[in-house]
Amino acid sequence: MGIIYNFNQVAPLFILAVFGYYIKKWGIAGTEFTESIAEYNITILLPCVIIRAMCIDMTPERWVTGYKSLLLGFAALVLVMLLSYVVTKPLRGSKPTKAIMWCSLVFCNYSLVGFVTVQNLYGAEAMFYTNLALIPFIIGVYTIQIIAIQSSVSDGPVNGAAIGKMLLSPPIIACGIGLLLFITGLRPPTLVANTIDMLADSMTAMGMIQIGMALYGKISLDFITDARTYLLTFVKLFVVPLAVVLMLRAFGLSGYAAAGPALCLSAPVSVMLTIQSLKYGGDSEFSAKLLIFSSLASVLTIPLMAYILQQIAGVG
Amino acid sequence: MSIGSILNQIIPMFVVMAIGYAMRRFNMVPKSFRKNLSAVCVDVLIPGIIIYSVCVGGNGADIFESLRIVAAGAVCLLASMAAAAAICRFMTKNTDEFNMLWMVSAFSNFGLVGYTLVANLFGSEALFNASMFLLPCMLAMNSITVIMLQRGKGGKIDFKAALLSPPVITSVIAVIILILRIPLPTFVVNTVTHMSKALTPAGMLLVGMSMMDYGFEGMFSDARVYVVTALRLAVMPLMCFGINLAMGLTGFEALSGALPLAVPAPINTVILAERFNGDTKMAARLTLMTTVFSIVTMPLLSYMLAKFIGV
Repeated sequence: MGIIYNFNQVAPLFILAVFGYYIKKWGIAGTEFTESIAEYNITILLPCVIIRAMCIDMTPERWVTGYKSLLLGFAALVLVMLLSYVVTKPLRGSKPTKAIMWCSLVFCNYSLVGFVTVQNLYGAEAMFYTNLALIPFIIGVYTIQIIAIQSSVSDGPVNGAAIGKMLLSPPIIACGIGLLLFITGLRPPTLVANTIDMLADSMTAMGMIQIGMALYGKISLDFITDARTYLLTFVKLFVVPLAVVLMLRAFGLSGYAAAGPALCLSAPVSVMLTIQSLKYGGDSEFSAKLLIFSSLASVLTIPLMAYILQQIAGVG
Repeated sequence: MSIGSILNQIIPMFVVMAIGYAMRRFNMVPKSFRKNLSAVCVDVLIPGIIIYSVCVGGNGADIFESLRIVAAGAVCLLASMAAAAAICRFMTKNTDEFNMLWMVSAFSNFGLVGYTLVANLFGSEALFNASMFLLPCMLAMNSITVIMLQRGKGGKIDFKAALLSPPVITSVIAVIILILRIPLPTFVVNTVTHMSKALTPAGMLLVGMSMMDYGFEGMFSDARVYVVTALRLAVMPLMCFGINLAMGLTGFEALSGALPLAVPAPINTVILAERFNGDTKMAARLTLMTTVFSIVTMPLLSYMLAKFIGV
């Protein structure tokens, strides 16, 4: 799998995002459709993507590597949290801005870009390991990220009820079902599996259209004068995935088990960060800046990172 | 293709439909979602699947050697449209209802279901024959139907809008690609493949949402739904099979062309009805009913026709 292969797999994602951008720009779909399609993607399609990833045929090797991936996912989260702390500490900014900087490095757009990229570039086996390794990160988006944003704007207690509600969101429940399928070895009946397949297959197009629509109207050139966005985007798109793949290699994972999770983490900053910033009073303006710049930069970096990570992880 | 494998392919479509129903039932998405999703389907996803059908239909053989098949396809299309119009005009006086009854009688979901059926049963040669046979149909489906849908709306028919719509422009591009045998870059093929995978769930969601918004009331007692279902799944494919043989196509060529017509109503029916303010209720009912009955009729008709020509 060379750079040309990667380009052929990644270019469609950006073409679809461009379609999404123009769907909004030309008024093909109304403004409220951006929210509705996000609801559809997160509630219906993403859970199908997560569950499908766990329905791979199991072999003894996959069992062992799968458990390792799950455990090392927690270690990867700790590593990325520490790395992000070290990078963001010296940067100037208010407390809410620093919280956004930190969250933007720790968490990324797994659901719409990360999983889709791994699925299209590396295939089902890589998705299986990626899904297991990313479970702590997915849970973190709904817990750690909210806590970080809330505690940066208020000294009061964190809103536990909001976190409890978020933990019952469909992607988290899907992670639970996925884990159950992995641990028990149970598989859904063919009819259910085919339904999940049909819906999961449509995630690429619908997800990228959503991204394009979400970006419309937000693209401004503010980030050009802010050196922090360059540094944070560089760390987000290059340093974090490289640190994770090296850590996974150091702990004995190789091939797709090492490259998949790292590639997923090379996705740009998530729209969810901006949504949560708006909801909990964080620095949503700065998060939008990072979202835009990292999304644009990822057009170039994802195919390149996919290639570099393959080499480091020893993908055949 | 056994009944079991057909069930495994078709029942998920009903599950997705039920999800669409539930999404509206529990107000997960507003009513406007239907309109917006259908707009995205018409202007973005359907053009994608038109190009995709060129990719899966094959563009390797010489189209001029297949002109007999293309000509048979054109004759069958005209015959289907005329027969559908002749029969459906006795079913209703309402223009919007007529449009839907006519569309479903005249056109099948050949792009998403028909090609898959032919390829799975008879392989790539049959698939190529089918793509040649359905070339006129591909051009007509998104142009004539849009013009039809604008009838009875009080104003003039906007031919420009109908003929310059993204699906029609893409159909013309698709024909050029086929005739000139233009190889598409891999990333374009991959893009349209992603788009094609999103269309079926989106279409079935729309059917489910429409069923929720309009209700099932009166659906099963409406004889017209059964008549059009019979036309779509049995009468039209058998008629076209006969025309093909009468026009001198070989048994295998005749079968390859007729079989993609023996599949349910196109998802486009609901999508276009929603987009152009047609009778979405009737479109959803016909799509649902033809899909239900196709579980039995598709394998049966495939078996009978294959037996008839000795394949």
